[in-house]
Amino acid sequence: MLRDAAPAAILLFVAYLLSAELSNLVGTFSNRIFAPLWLTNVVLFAALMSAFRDRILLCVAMALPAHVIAGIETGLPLAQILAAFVAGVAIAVVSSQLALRMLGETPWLGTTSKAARYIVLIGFACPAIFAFVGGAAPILGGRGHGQYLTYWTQWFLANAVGALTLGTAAILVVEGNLTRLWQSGHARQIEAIGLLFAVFITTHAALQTGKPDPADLLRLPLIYAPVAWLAIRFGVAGAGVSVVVVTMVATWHAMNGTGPFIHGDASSNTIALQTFLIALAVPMLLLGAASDQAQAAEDRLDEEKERISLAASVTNAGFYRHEFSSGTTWVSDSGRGLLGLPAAGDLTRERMLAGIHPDDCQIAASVMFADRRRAGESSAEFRVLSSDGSLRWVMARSRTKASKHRNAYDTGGIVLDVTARKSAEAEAEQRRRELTHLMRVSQMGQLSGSLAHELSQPLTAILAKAEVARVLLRETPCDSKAVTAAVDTIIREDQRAGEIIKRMRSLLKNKELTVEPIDINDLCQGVRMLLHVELINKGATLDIVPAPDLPIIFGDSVQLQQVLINLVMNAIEAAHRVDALRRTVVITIRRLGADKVEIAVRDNGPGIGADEQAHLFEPFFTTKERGLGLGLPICSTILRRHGGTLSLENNDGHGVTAFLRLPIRPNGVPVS
Amino acid sequence: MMDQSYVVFLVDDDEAVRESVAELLQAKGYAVRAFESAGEFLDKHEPSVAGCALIDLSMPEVDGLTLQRTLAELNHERPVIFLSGHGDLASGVQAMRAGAVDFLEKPVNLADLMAAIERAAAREKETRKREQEQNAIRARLDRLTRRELEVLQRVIAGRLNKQIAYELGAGEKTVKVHRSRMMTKMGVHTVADLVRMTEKVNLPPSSAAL
Repeated sequence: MLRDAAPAAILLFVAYLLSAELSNLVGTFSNRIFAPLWLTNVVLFAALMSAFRDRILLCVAMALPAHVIAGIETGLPLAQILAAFVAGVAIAVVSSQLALRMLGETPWLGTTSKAARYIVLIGFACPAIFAFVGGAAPILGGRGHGQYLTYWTQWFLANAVGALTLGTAAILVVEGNLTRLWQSGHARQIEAIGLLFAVFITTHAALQTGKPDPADLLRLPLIYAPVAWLAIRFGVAGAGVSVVVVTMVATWHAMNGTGPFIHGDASSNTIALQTFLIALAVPMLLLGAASDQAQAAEDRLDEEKERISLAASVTNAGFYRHEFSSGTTWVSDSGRGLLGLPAAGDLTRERMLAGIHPDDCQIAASVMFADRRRAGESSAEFRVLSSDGSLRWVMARSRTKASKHRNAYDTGGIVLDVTARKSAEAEAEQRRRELTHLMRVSQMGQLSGSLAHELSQPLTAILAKAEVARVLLRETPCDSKAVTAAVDTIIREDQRAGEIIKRMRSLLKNKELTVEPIDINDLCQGVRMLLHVELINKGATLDIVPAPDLPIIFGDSVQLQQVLINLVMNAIEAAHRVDALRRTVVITIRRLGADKVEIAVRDNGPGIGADEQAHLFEPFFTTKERGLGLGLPICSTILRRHGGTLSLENNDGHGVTAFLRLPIRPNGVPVS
Repeated sequence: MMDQSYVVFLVDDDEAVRESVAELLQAKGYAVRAFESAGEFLDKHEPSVAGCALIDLSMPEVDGLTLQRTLAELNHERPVIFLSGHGDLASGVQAMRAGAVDFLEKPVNLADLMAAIERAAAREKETRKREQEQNAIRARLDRLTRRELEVLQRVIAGRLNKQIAYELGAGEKTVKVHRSRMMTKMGVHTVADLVRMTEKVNLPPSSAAL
């Protein structure tokens, strides 16, 4: 553990010692200026941000000897040296912990809010607070109390400049920002180096004077220009690095006796230089951060655009936008294709709707130009006639919301080609219809014997009456009254036969789901008529308990009849299985609340076994010897399509009751 | 054409069928009594009235086959013609095995119906004639003494007088007297005639082992 940290520790010791020596050098090299920033604290700060994050004690242990060695060379009292060390360690520890907490594990300054927080807390607040300790160090070293404010100011500014110049650079290195910038291509490298050189030259030029001249101060703003440029082009990294360059050049000039910071005593010169550096660093760092933030936003937008365009190309989606305030409409290229619009040209509401199937125009308009006073989402599917005459199904989904800049509403959305889904749906619907019809045909097949018998009754009567008529007609005188009576019966019975055939045929017909008014009581009686002979043959009776005052419901009578026949035949079969004395099936019709009708088909058979219950509506599940296992699934589908439900329950006593529940819809709202 | 005394008992649950077939049969000169269910028919049945039953095969509650069985159980000898809505082979076989005259499919052809009724009438006539004959034979048998009956049973079994005498423990002459008296009472001259006559009735079994 310790061995792993050894190279870093040694490096730290050396760096600390060198930076302390460098600071001393600045102070001793020239009598005009002290070191404008205390490198040792910045070194500690950088170490604590990187290799020594979790090894604060090791960091302090390595720094202390270096500090003492460098301090003793200056000949200062040990107490002052140690006090300065305590203050330096304290601010480095607190600043680094604060930075990590505030800027994240990989500290990042690239937003204005983070940069501002860094500047306020670490750039100013921490130095200001710890300057109370650091400012006391010279007093411990034997200087007078009277200078405390000066010591405080010196300590504060030296650390503030440290944090805002080299401190920032340290963070940029730790985060990897500089490395990233360096790897972003030759063009950027050349641009960065060129701009840094410009900073260097400008700074050097601006500080290139020796005599006290107020005009020199006016040259200082020149330095801002290349620094700002760097900040804008390279963000916080550009700002940070160029501020460091300016700091170095300015310090060099001050030491060599040129520039505007040489005309007072060392202390006031240093303060002036420091003030200048702070005044440069703060706005430039903020500018850089703002630039980074804008760049990040742009990157995110690009990424988002890329994602959307990928989604759009995969789903073949188009986009549109309509501003109500200006009445302008924008449609993406693929959207134009989908909506059958010309590839270019202004779009009006009328032109937008021109390609849409006339029957669907209203619904399409209601979605794409949704109510302008209400925010919300809506979607619709409609047909579009392309210029080549083919028909496409398009789905539009739109969102209307308050416009950001005006007191108005905008609608925007997406259009998708759903032709494939629609045709799959239509095909599924076709299959379902065929299957339903097939079941009906098979049902008729089962009933065919009974129905043939049913038909033979009127035919027998007709034949007999015809023979009677023939006999009567041969007699003289002919009893015309009797003949008329016979013919009347023939007509009546023929109609009866016709009714039976009609009923059979309607069940055999393969037609689409139709919506028609239905009287449930009549429907049940019709079922009884169809099953009349079947009931006799199976020795069962069917009782119907009609409901009084039942409203007309809307649905497909043939399909509902099919369901009832299926259920009654199941019931007869179930009753047949137990050799019941009386095989009775009871249909009870009743109203359920205000909006439902219930038809209960009850038998007295053996009931449903516990293991069968779960599989009742599964296709191909059957308990019959020759059943297909499609009866109940199809019944259930038919009911669902009528907005109703089908359930089977065992009775308290014997048998099962099938419950059909159908909604009562006002004015024949079509079934879904 | 039949005489008016021949009755067709029509049983069908369908009113139109009942009414039109009845009218047709009446027009063809039959007396018709129509019933809408097996129950009603059985309630009002007079076995002694000559006539056939025209019965619909499938009716609620009691169907045609059950009605036929019930009639047989009640010993009501009546020829039965079935009408059926559709040719159900199993029912037809069952009906014919139980002695039905015919099994007709609806809608029924007049000629077939008439033919079936004629056949039923003929069969009934036959039955009634046979019954009369049997009654006459039984009346003659009743006039025989026990000894004469014993002799008769042995004669038709082909025994010689000597054997009969031995079996009955009587003299051959006595047997001859009994035999001659028996032949007179039965109104036959030859043994062959006697055998033919007695085959038409079920003779009480012989008291002695043959």
